[in-house]
Amino acid sequence: MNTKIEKGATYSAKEEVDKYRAIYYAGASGDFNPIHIDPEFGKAVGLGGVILQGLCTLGFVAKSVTDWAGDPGKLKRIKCRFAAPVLLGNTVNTAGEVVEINGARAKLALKVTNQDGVEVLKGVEAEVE
Amino acid sequence: MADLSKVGMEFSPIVWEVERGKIREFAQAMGDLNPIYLDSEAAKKAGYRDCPAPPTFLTVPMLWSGRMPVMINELKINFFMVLHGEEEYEYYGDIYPGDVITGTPRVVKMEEKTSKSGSKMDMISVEVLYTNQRNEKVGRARSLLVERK
Repeated sequence: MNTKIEKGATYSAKEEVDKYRAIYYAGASGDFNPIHIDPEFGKAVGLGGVILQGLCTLGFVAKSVTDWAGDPGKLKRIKCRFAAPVLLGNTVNTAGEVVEINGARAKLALKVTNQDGVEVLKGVEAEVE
Repeated sequence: MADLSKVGMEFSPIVWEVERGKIREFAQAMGDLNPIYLDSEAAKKAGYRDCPAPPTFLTVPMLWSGRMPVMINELKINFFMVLHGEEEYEYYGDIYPGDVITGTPRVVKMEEKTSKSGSKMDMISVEVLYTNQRNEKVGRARSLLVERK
């Protein structure tokens, strides 16, 4: 994507969390916490099943920024607070907006929600250059 | 509960050799099929030396090194009550296959907070600055752990 990075520019992206995503991410990242791979454990601790690793959700958001910016090397910083669990089968929607330009660097504020509009990450910001 | 006197504590360095297959596997695991992560020729065409590691890759050395449970234990945090509260990455340079990256986890902040509902929790911030084999800074990871009490 060849994106014009200017204040007020917006984009949106969407990821469907397929039923094996947390298993793939566990193997790749090394996060084998049972809440991410064992549905029985997830139910026993009141999560209703397996929840996706928060860093995988952040990975979706980082991908949305780098797809929008056109080059992963442009991403200089990304930050989030983990606010609500993402369950397998959920959709993760990201809406980004350039809120500040400082020289060559642009700061984005991002809203990351599930299919019901619940913010799964909060305080999400990214900087590209 | 967390031992708040351990603020400033440093753990032994994480030393991690970056493998091409791990870069590809990590990108695919997030559903990121950008060819620059999968194909070195595509990466070169895009101006990279080789396939770069995706932005959130710094989670790999932290978790696969097994360092997180060691830190949780040493900081006297209750493993069953700890949540990952926040994460931040800053990028200074690309990470490529064959790079050996080194980072020393450091406890930069520990404090007790009380929520609106009156429950207490300890907030523990851990920071790792990673450098490569040429001692060039490549990135910094900051994690906030929250222990409910």
